[in-house]
Amino acid sequence: MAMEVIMPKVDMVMDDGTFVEWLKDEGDQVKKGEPLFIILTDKANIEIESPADGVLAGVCAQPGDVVPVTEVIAYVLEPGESLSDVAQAQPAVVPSAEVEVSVPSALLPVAAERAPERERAPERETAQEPTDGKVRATPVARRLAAELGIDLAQVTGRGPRGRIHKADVLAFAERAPERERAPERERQQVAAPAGVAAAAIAPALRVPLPEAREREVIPLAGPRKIIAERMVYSAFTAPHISLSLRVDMSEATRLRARLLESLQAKTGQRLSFTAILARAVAAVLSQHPYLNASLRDSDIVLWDDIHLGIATSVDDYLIVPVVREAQHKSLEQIVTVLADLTERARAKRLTPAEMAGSTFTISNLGMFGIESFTAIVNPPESAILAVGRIVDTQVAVDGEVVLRPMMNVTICTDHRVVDGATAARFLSDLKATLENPYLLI
Amino acid sequence: MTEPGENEKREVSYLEAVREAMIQEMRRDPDVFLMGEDVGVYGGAFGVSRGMLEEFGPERVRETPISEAAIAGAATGAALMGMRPIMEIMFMDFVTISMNQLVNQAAKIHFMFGGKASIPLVCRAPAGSGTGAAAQHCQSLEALFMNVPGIKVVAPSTPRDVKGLLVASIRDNNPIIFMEHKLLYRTKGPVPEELYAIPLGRAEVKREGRDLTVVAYSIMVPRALEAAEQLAAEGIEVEVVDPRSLKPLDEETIVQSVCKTGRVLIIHEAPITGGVGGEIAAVIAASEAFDYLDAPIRRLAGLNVPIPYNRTLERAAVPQVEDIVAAARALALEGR
Amino acid sequence: MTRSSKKNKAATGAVDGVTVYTTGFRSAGFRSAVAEADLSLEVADASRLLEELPREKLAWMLQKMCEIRYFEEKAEELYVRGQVHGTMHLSIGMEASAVGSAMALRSDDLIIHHHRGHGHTIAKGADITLMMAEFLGKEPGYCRGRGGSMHIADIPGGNLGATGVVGSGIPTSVGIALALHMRGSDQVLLSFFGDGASNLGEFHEALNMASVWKLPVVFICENNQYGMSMSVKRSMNIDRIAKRACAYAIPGVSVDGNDVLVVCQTIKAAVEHVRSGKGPVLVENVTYRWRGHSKSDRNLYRTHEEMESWKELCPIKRFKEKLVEAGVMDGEEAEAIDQEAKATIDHAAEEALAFPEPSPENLEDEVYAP
Repeated sequence: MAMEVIMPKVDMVMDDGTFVEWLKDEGDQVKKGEPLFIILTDKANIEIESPADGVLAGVCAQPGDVVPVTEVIAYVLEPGESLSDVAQAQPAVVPSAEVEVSVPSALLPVAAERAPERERAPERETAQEPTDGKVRATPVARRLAAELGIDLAQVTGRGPRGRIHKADVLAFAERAPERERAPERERQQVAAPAGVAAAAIAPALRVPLPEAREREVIPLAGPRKIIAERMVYSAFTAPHISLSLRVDMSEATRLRARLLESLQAKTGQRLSFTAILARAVAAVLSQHPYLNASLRDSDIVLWDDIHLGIATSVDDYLIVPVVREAQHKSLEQIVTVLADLTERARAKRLTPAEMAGSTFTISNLGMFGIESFTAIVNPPESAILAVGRIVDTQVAVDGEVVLRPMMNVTICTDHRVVDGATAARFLSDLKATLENPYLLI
Repeated sequence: MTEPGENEKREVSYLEAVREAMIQEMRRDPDVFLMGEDVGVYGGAFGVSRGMLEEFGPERVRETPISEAAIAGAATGAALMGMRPIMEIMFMDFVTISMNQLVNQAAKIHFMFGGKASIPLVCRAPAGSGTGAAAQHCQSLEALFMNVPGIKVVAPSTPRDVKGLLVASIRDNNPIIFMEHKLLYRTKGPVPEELYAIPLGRAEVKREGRDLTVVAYSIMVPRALEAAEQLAAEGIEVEVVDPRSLKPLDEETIVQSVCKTGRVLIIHEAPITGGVGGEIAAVIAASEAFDYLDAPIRRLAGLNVPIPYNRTLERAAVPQVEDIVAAARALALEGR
Repeated sequence: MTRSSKKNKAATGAVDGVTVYTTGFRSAGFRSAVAEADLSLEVADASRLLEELPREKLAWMLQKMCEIRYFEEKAEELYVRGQVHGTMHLSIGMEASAVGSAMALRSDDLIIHHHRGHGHTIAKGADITLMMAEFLGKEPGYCRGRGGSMHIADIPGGNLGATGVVGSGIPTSVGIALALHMRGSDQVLLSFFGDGASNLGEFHEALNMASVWKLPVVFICENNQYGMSMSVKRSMNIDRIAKRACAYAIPGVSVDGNDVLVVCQTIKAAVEHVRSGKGPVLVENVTYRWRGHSKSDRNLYRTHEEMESWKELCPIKRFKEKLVEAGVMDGEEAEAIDQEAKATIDHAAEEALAFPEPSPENLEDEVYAP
């Protein structure tokens, strides 16, 4: 019987070997156990012996060939045999004895645990603000908060690094009244046009970080994350334009001086420029409804109510307390509401309802010395007013150069809803009203 | 689940309980025998086998030369032949010399031979620090065996537990590391006189509480109970769970306790890194108890140091009652 | 030293037929409770076996040696074809040590051995198909595919298993023999290990303990001249491992491990000594392995000439010659036994290859005994 000469497996792990040379030639007599050829493996050159006595024939491996283990490279024929005999009697492929061991089931639960944590989806509809991610809270606190419909972002944690414990959630639940399941919330969901992921925070670009020592690492979580998401959405969805002008605040200043004392007496609060501004904006907006509008699906909804958002900075966060129905409110009422909102904002005791639902936002950075700036429209609104510092400036009045307290106001709008002319007209009217505040009466 | 000896009045020391278990089981089963250094006339290094030579003779209370590898091999071979040897390693530290036989032979023969042979041996060893015996005579090496499939690990804390668990271990058909603690030998407790077995893999709640769970074994159980008494006066109620056997581990009892209290402190004498506490912590973290956790799972264990000789340093190297009190209190108050 | 030796002409590297080493403890001033008689061993002349043993037994020895040879070659062939997972340690050239020793046993005597243990397993009467199945990793194999080549055990057949950690069977042997002693049985254990193992601490602990307790075990060191690649000349400063016996006050015998009759007579004498309660014996079968340590061995540590000169001493060839010379059988009958052995192996391999694989679902089954 002809004996196959194969590339042998000579290492525990070996898939193929490199053929180096034949030590006998085609047609030579060979003896069993006699060195027949040399191969090269990971470790070294090895002599391979002949598997039988006979004549070497059908040599087909050449020096340098990489031959898979068990492939036939020659035959040792018995006297009288020829290669054609062998061609007929091809042996069946011998099955491999390798055992494929599948992953034991003991490992499977671990894989399941490693699934990324997401807040349980059902709760997202009922919670006022989506809170997925990295607020620090213990498992039981999270579970409890979810069950009670509490937004963890609002809960103060007394654990290390502000970690929220069960007791904190329970305490919060006792203080704050049961949340309304505001159905308006759902109606006011911003329609996300196809192709824009509302939750995308970073654009898909890998930018290498600088080689610098870290001072602190703050997770993008909670309110900060929400702001980030909204600003990205707004910046990449709404085509922004901004228009600026300067308002002569002389008359407004006088008005304020006149009303300061009486308002203080009536409300216990100081009359701020912001309040005056809010009053003026509320009045003017009624005449310019497109700046008090939202895009809903393929409609522009012009709102009847003017809910004014007053952007406020609290502890490095931007929150926007809302003066609801400002169109109906007197200056006095605005002062009172504003003062209350601001105070509670600083104490972090605003309800979610109070921090959302504005139809137009005013942002004033004048107290920081900023003279002018542009802002990003706060979705789902269509316009935002950016107010700067009142600066004594040289202006020309009736051909003369005089010093007047000038305040820069910039209106930034979503051009899908508000085009330049519309915005300009609003701004112009606002200027007129502020420069002649008696029109507000 | 009732435990034997719940109403027992008879008080016996841990050491005597070990001896009682061996004597009673050896009377019952002629295949059981004890083998170790100085276990005959000397009565064993700690006196555990005192009197046994007189009753059972030198064949069944068999003294050996100082040859931990051969002792373990002898136990393995005898067990392979169907006997039930108890091998005594004088200090758990010396089990390292027996490791090849215990790990590569005893633990594996049942599996390697396709279930056709078994090794019913018990390797008893006193472990632990507190006697000034220093680095090479004070270790608790149970963690080394946690990671070897085929070998079980038992670490009883009371006289009643040690007797029942040793009897169960002798009757078990697998190799078992039976970790006694030197400081526990003199402790006394109620022990039923009759022969009884406590099943392996069953933990015991030694003290009920609602504020936090302490999982402790061996010497840490009495220390945890003492700490719990002190904390009770402060209004902190500690639940103490004693696993009793580490492998197989009664995960259910531990998990249920943590679900109840929401806070857990795992305590052992052996150094913290790579210790059994890590295994228990992972089991808890992966269980349903996770949803009830109100604080991170905490461990209190030996420092990563060899046991020092100096008395003060020796105390400082492993958790003492005051350390347990402080850690438990801190955990109980975390976020409260 | 007392010696009883028998010359046996052989080529380079061969050893005298039988050399028994005992020491004069009294003259060394060593206080010992061991009787002088306990330290000596009378080994009868090997050629007497050709007259004393019936033809079937002699034929059996030849058959077993051939089976071992063909088994190892078949194992090698299967390996080279990629059908064997892991590696294997072949005992080609060492057949006489395994068969001669087994021949000296009673059917209820026991053996424990090691990674190069296919020979011992076959000699002790294992089912060759089930052996094949085991190192092919098949479910019907002796260890249900969980042990492989290095861990084959046939417990009911008195083969208490092979161990893969060098020397680890030696202390276990002490335990097995201890159980035999404690039960008052007169069974005997043969404990096989190699030259490398005799340098391990466990070897010394075990021999000492077995000696002290007078346990019924014959320690058989198959000295095949090499650990893995380290020659005995470099790994120890004594020329005969049997000399180590005197450290434990037991008889030590060094024999030509490639002469199956010499091995048989020696083990017979050792077994008798041990069975009579005189304590253990250390036997050294001097032999040679033709193949490398394992399948990864490139034989870089020995020369072609050395390997060829040992192959001249092939135990099977020599035994066939002796049988024919003594008129026990003719050349053709010897060949017939040889070919029958080959057929047995081929058939076993064919059958075993077709066996089922174990299922991963049962993987955790046998970790703990119930």
